[in-house]
Amino acid sequence: MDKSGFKRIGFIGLGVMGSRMCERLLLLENNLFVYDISKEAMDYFYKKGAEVADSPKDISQKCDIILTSLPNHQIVENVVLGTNGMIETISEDKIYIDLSSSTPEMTKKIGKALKEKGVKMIDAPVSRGAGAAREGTLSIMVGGEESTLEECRFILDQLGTDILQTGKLSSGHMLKALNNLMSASNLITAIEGLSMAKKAGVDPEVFTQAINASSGKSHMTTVRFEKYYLPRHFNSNFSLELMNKDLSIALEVARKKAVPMMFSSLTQEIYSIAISQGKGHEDNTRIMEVVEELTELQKNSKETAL
Amino acid sequence: MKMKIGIIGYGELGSRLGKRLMQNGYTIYAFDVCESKMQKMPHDKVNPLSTPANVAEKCEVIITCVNDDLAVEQCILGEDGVIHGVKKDTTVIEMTTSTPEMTKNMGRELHKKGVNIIDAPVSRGIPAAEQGTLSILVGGEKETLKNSRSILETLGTDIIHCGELGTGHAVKAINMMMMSCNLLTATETLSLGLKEGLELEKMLDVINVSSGESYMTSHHFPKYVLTETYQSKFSFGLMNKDLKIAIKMAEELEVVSLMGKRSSHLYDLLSSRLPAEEDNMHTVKEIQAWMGGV
Repeated sequence: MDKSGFKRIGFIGLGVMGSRMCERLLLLENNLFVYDISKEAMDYFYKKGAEVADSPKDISQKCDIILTSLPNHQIVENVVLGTNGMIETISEDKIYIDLSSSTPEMTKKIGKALKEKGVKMIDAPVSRGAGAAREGTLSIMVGGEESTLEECRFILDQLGTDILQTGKLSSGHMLKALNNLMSASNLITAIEGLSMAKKAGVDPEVFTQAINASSGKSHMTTVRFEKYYLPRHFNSNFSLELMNKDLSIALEVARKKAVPMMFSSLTQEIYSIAISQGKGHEDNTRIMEVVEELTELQKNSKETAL
Repeated sequence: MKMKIGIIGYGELGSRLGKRLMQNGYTIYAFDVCESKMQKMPHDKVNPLSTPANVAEKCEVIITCVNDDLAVEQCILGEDGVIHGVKKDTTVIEMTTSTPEMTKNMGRELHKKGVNIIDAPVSRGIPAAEQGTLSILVGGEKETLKNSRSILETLGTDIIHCGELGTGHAVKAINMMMMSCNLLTATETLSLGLKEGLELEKMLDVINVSSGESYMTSHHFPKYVLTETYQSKFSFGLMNKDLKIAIKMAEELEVVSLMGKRSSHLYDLLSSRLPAEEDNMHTVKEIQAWMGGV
C-alpha cells in the first residue's frame, strides 16, 4: 500500500482492451503501475502519470492488486509462472485478476500455484469490446471467492457496468466461452432461418417480428438482427478469429472430458471454413456471408437483401 | 345471424377452435375421418357432416386443421373433398402445420373455383387455443385476411401477416426449426458447464443477460429444467415432425440447411430412445445421458 493507504494497482498487457481499461484505472486515486512488452505503450501511460515497471515480477513486487489483459492462455502462463514472472515475487494476501480470455484449465493451474503462496485470484473475462472498455461499460463474468471479488470490486466497477458472479475460480472463463458458443450457434441458426424466409418470399423485417413473437427467438433475433444483420452493417468490433478462440476454449473442455457436442461442434466447423478462407481478421458478423455462401443463397438474394 | 363455419379435422386443436368459435356465436359444422371424433361433436353442440364436400356445401368459411400436408391434399382435392362441394367466394383458412408447397397447390386449385385461401398455422399450444390467445402466422391476400380477421381474432391475440400464400407455413416451420436448434445448443452448452462444476441457475442468470440468451434459456430451462418437471406440453414426436417439414421446405426452396439438418439428424437418433408422445423437454435428459450424465 502507498503512504495514504491506497492499494497499489499493477496492470500487465496494454493492447487494444488493456490500454482502454488502463485509462479507466488512471481515474482512481490508487497508484498505477504498468507493464507491456511494447515500450511505446508504457511511455504513453508514463506521460499520463502511471509508473512503469520492467517485468511482470517487478509489478507483482510493487503492487497489491495485479491485473492482466493478455492475448491468450499461454501468454498468461508465461507472465505469471514463467521466467521473470509474477510467481517469483508475489506474496501473501495480494490479489491477482485475470481479465484475459484464458482457458478454465490454465486458470485452475495458475490459481493453484498462487494459492500455495497465499495469493487470492479471480478470473474476470470481459465482453462487449473496445468501445465498452473505453466507456467503462464492460460486462465482466467473475469466478472466484466472493470475498476476493468484494475486495477488488472498486476496480471492476471502474471497468464495467455488469459484474456477473459465475461461481468458483475458472467459472468466469468457462461461462464466457459457453456464452459465446451459444451466441454463435444461435446466430448461425437465425441466419439460416432468415435465408429460408427470404427464399420463401417473406420480408426480413416481418420475419424478425414473427420470430420475436415466437419460440424460436434469441438475443440474436431480438437485438442483433436489427443492429447488424438486417441492414448488413458488419461492424460489431469483434473478429471472427476471437469468436473462434472462444469456441475452441469451450469445445476443448468437452474434448478433454470426452463429452460429445454433436450439435454445437457444427458451429465451429462453420467458423473453420471462414478462417480457412482467410477471413479470421474480419468482423464476426460476416459469418452471415459465410453461411449464405454455404447455403447457396447469396447469389440469388442480392435483389432481396435490404 | 352469424356466419357458418366448417371445421375439417376435429382433433386436439380443431375441437378447441370449434368450441371457442361457438362461444362467440358462430354456427359450427365439422368433419373428421375418425368415427369417435364424429360422435363427440353433438356433445360440443357441433353439427357433424359426413364428408368434407358436405361441409363445403354448408359453410361460408372452412377451417382445415388435419394431420399433415398429405391429409390437407386428401381433404381438399380427394374423393368427397372440399373442392367437390365448395361455392364461389368461400374462404378456406388452412391451419394445419403443412408445407408452403402444398398450400400453394391447394391455392391454385381453389382459385379456379373462385375460392379464397389463407394459410394460418398457429402456435402456443392447447391452453392458448382454449383461451383464444394463439399466435397466428398468416400467408395470403390482404383482402382475404381482412375478411377473416374477426374469426382469427376470436382465436388468437397475435396475428402476423407474413406475405403471400404459403408464407405463414414457411415462417412456422422455420420458427420450429430455430426452436429445436436453440434447445439443442442450450442443452449441450449448459450441460458442459454442469460437467465443469458450474451451477445451472447461476449460468442461466448470466447467460440471460448476455449474448447467448434465447427463449430456451430464458423461458424453457427455468420453467421445465430447473424445476425438473420436463413438461412443456409439446411432444417429442411433434417437434420431430415439424423439423421434417422445415427440412423438406428447405429442399423445396433450394436452401442447404446446416443447423436445421443437424438438429433433425439428432432427433432421428433420439427417436430410438424417446417415444413420440414423450414431452419434447426429455430431449435434454437424453442428450445429458449421451454426455455421460451431469
